[in-house]
Amino acid sequence: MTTRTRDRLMPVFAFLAVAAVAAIIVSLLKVASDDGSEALRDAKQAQVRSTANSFNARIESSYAALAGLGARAWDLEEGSEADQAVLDTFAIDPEALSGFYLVDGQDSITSGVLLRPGRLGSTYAPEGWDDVKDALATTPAVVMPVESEGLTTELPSYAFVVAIRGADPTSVRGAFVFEEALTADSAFNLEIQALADDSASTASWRFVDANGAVVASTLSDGLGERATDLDLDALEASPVVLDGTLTISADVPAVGWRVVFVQDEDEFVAPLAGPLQTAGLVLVLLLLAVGLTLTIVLARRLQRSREEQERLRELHRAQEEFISVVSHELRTPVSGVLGFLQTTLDHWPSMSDDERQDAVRRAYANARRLQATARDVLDTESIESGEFGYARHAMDLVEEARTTVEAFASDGAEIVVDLPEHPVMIEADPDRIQQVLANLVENALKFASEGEPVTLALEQVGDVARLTVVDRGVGIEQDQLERIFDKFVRTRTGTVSGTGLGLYISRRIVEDHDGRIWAESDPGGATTFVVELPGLDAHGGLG
Amino acid sequence: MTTTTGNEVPTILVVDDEPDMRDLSRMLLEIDGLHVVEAADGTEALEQFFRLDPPPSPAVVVLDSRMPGMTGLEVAASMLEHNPDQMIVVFSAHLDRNLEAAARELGVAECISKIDARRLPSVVRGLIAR
Repeated sequence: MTTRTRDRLMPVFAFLAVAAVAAIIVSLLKVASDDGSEALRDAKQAQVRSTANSFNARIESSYAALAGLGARAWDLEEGSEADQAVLDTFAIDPEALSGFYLVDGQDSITSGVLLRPGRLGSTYAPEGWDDVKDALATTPAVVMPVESEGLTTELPSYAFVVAIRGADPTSVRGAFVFEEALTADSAFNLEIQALADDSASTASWRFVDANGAVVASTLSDGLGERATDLDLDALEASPVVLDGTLTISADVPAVGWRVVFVQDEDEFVAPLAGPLQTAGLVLVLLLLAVGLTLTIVLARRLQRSREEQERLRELHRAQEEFISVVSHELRTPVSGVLGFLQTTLDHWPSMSDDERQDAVRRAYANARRLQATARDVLDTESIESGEFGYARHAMDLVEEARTTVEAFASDGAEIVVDLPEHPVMIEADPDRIQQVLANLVENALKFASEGEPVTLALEQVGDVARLTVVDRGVGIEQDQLERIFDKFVRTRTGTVSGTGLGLYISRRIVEDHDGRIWAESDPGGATTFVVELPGLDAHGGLG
Repeated sequence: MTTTTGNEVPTILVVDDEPDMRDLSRMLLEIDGLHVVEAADGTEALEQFFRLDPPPSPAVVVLDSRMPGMTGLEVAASMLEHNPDQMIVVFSAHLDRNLEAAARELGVAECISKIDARRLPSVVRGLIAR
């Protein structure tokens, strides 16, 4: 794996690590949430169990009292005044919705309170009655299942059946039956409704009999009816979560009923899950944010270090190129100087005066080129080491421009000049300004197409002296206009040589004089170099 | 094949991107009585080469090594591919063992450093005589 590949993968690894930690947090929260939910269910189960147990205990204790009822010396004769008189003493509630009655050994109703018309003397034979009578031999009382109506009430009701004993304590001579009408405001139902702690909740408490009929409920309806939403067989296991609904139940063995608590599971665990989920979400988001930031920071740092490496490589390449270019730029004129002088010496007698003069002139030009290259290299060295100095004083830029043009013109260059009549004064180092001018004009001459003149113009624009050098020939790509002022950059190469230092040094000189230098190039091939230098006025000087 | 029969003045093709170096080579070779044609880069050199052949093909090609565009060795390879017997002198300011070895391997006849420019005429003459 290369370093670069590893660098690229680093942020990916970082992100994966953060994601893994997030996943662990989520799963830990899930475990905590599950544990919490289980604890909540256990607590609710205990409450349901205890409700059932306390009810069962009450039933059992009341059975003992009911046994006393069965031990009375009932006549069990139809229309017995004695029996009726005793029954009437029990009817103390004038607003009672249901009553009670006596059944003899032949299942005939002999007397009662609130009996509905025609019921006296009729046969009492509810479903499973024979089984009930068998059961009564060993238990003082039995609770009958809910019926849609009773004998003393038209309301749905259930009945307590108490055995009336003969001389033998296990014999069953008849039965005392009292019915309980099922109404929402019955004392029993009101007691159950007290279990509901929040009416808006989906939670409900119900007592159901062995057939699943609702005996008491915190719900507003369904009393006396089968609770169709409950699967009685499934209630054996508790708690049960089915289709998002939590069902917890406990049996009341004395009467064969069950206490059933039902609530939407999400709502049930909400008090726990809500805060846990919020905490988890916040944690995970926080972690992701931290991880993402980390990943981005890491990626950026890697990117920066790669860019830095790239920059260093670029610099190294440029330096190698520089060494190569400088060595070429030194060797070629040296060969020129030596070659022309040697030839002249070797062939002096056979050469004409003109030929000798031409050869020496060429040797001189090469020596000049050698000197220029050496100067550029040394200037660059001075700039790098911070020893590039200036001897500034007031000078006329017009005169300096004229000197430059004359120097090139003497070599046969064609330069169009546009200089003002009056002096344009600046405070500068004339040698350095001359260097800039010469560099720009030399460049322009190098790159101008054959027959296309180079233009040198100077104008005073406000406080600024503006010099422009224009050539028509090899242009400069738009994206290279700034780059050409960098060290060693030679973008307008073509067939022309150079160290790539001239513009770098020129910009340095101009900027050190508080001026600006830039290049413009249009698609038509006109390339313009502009130099702006503060006029002497701007320095608060002569003007 | 080089065609330098009879009293015909041999033609030398000088290829260099530096005008001064072309002029120096021309001066040296013309003093020695040779006919010189010039090219400023590789492309121009190949154009000249094929225009001169046949006849008259350049008796010797004097080839700078470092030029914009094609390098001297690339130009030499093209010429030698066309004419394996072409006499070529690499005339370089950067002559070193590597360059000389690469040139010899291509089939270049001679290599001269520009510092030893005065040797150019005798070397060219020697090649013409081969």
